[in-house]
Amino acid sequence: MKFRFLVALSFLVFAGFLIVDSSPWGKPCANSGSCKESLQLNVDNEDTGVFNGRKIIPPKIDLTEKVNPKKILGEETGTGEKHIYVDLTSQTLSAYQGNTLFMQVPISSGKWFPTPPGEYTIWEKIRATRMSGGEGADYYDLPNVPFVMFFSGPGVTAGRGFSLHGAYWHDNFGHAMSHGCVNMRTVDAEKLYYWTDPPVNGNGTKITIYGKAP
Amino acid sequence: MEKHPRITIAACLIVSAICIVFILFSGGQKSKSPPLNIQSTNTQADLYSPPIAKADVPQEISVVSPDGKWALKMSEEKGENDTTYIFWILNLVKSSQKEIFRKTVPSGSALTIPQNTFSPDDKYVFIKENSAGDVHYLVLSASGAPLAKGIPTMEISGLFAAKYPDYKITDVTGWGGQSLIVINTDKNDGGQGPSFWFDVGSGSFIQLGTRFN
Repeated sequence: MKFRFLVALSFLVFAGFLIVDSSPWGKPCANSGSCKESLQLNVDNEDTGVFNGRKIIPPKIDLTEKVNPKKILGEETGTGEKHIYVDLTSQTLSAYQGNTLFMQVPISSGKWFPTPPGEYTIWEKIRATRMSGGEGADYYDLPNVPFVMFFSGPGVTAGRGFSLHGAYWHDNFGHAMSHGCVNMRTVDAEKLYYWTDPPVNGNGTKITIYGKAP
Repeated sequence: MEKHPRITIAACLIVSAICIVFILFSGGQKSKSPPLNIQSTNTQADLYSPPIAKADVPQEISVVSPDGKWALKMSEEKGENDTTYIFWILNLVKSSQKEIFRKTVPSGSALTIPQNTFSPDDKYVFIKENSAGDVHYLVLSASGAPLAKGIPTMEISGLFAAKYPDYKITDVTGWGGQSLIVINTDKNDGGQGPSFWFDVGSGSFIQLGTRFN
């Protein structure tokens, strides 16, 4: 009896560890106030946002707007696998297809919560969503966050909501400024959004995040 | 069960080992770097490259707003002992442009457009002036109109020095909000100072508890 009990207990502990690790509430979400809601398409064209204690009018999102078919199909940048590198030290993002550089732009990684280094893939792309979280002076509530590319991988489960996305509420790129996600200029996020591969069964373009934010 | 103590211990060890491997796999990602053999295509990096002042070569530099709708363009007219810098706002949607500011500075001084010049709502821009070792930051309305009645522009460095004589500005990095410019400082007697917001709307400084490196 004692043997079975110990084995069962060990497996229960292990299963519990797996469940907690893969759940949104096991580790903090990138957007603590909208953990699950942020993972879905959400357009609020009549609403306002809050960032750094200031009211913000978000850009309107038009889901019917015509997009150049070339954008949707992705720009041809060479041959080989597409791969995005985020250098936290220099606060830059570089996107390659094979050895060909597609774009290199400044980003803002986590300031109030660190952006996790690691190897990831984009598991979902959505045109816009709402993100909220933080407390006190750091409280934020941002509708219409544009061109969101959620990523996941070892140590960062999909439910935690880490992503690359456009940021219309600040212009301090090249410096840490986010709550864990990778902020990009909207114009850069749009270009990357249409360049990345559509995720198939949760597996899209690869992302490597490395270095340490200043 | 007393006759199976080794099996019990082994089972527990295996489960523990699996947990340890899982933890290591979760947290111990390797760092990869981008490919070294780069064949660059037309990238946007050029847009963000800091302007390099080359003597006697007329320049035209522009920085696009984060939403891609506007650009701030700077052109130079070189005189014998001075240079006139002219700033234009370009509407990239309507393909139109308008001069919003010009300034003549003596030789040895230069004006540049910082990478994060546009406020998030495209209402303001700021430019940087290097003058005989001194650095000044000038805030303008992107429309070319005065910032307020009787206030065509604001010069941040002078206002800051008057209000906070114990600190000196080391960098103005961009916009932390719609009208909030991010300022980093050092203490005049040595050491790192705090960061500040400069609120263009009220013309006031806000000292921050966190530093924006």
